[in-house]
Amino acid sequence: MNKKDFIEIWGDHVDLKSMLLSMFICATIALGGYFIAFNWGSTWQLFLGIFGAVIGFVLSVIFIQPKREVEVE
Amino acid sequence: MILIQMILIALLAVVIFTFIGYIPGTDETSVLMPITLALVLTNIAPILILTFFIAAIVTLNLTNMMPAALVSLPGGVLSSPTIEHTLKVKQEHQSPKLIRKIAAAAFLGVVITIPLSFLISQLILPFANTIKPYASYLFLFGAIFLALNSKNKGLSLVSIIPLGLLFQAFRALYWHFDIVSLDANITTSFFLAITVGPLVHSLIHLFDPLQRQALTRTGRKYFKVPKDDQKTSLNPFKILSKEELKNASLATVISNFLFVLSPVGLIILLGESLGKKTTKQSQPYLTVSIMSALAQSTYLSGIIIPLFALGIPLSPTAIGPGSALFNAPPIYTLENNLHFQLTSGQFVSAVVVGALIALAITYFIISRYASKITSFILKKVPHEAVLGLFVGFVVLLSYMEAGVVNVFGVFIISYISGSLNKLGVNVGVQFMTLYAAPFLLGWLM
Repeated sequence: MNKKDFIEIWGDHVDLKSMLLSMFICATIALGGYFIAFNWGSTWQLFLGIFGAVIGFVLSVIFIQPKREVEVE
Repeated sequence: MILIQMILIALLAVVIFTFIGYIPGTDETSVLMPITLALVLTNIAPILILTFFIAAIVTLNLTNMMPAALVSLPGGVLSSPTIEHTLKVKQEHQSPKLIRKIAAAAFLGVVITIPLSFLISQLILPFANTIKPYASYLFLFGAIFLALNSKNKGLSLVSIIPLGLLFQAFRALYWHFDIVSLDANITTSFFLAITVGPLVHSLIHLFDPLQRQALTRTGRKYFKVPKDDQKTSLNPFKILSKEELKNASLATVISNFLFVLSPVGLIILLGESLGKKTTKQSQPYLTVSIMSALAQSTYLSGIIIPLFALGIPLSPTAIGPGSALFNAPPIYTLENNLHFQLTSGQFVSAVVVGALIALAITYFIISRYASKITSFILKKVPHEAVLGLFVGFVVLLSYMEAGVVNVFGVFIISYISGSLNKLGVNVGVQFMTLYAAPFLLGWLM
């Protein structure tokens, strides 16, 4: 295990760059979803927006490694 | 036909919120509110919305306790007071026993709260029309009351009027420049601003090299997850001791009458005081059982009583996570929401179906698989992704309500609110102030 430096935020360790990247991705895709539905009314805007944020979340889950070491007893 | 739809939508809520509940740090309000709002805006039958919401809160409040019990990371706000007690149990390697108690106590909380909160609603109902014109006063009194119960009483009291001004200032700015129409009263995004306040505050302080140094940690965070127990009985009355049954029930009953108070406040207040009523060794189990029952009872009564009896959001749960049930223009307004659209029978059936389905499934899953799910989530879902999802939600909803300007507006509001929060002004006070703000300003002028 490498001894890299992380930042503790909200009770867990994160890598600052990955976190900012994840926030950027989630926000951008969420707004992207919103604009795809721009003329479809507020329900679709919200739906595709939330869907976009969730896609951003899934991408972050795939590409960012958790900074945790987990052992099952 | 509608019953099948209700069952399906309750199942949907269970699936979504079982997953979310296990993810550490997913705040109840910021996940419940946008998803419920999205559902409301689809304009599906009101009874389905209520079923979904009830199933969602029962599932979320129970699964939120799992990461807390297993690895001492709170799954949400309500489970954070349990941490110091779960830690003791974990050191004795008794987490599976505690998890069964948490599930059994949640069962108790739900089963007592549903009839009791409808009963309390019936008692309030005759006075509903007398109470309603004073709603603004009630929000203000609520803010003052919560301020007197918060960590920093003085600052909480002092911050009510300036915070109210802050919210009204942004609303007035948007009206003045025609960013929103004059009848639009921005609430949702300000609300989320308060919720993410502590996060934004921490992020901004990372720009200060000294503070960043203080938060820097070397190496990964280590978690040891206790194993599941597959064999023991699932009968809640056998799982809880007599003391636990008695005190968890008592706490549930008391909290129902105090539905206007902040859930996390009640959990700390009642959990810590009643939890001491036993031997030193049993205290963590008793305390956490009481807290688990309270997580259910405070949320359920906080949504059922205001919605059924009044139709105005008169509790922290109703103002916060459940706000879309009361006010979600253009579908619901304070004059036309679930309260006005559902008959008593529909109301009761939505609550019962939603709660029982959620309880039955979640109860079984956590009694058998809590440890497996927790270690899976800890291994697969990075904290960065969770924080990213929050920020995505907040940016989206801010933009939807009042464009780019509001994204920055929400940013600065969340920083201020987060700073106050760090100094001991709890979010309950801030939520109440948000609702009292128009009245407060009118009264000052």
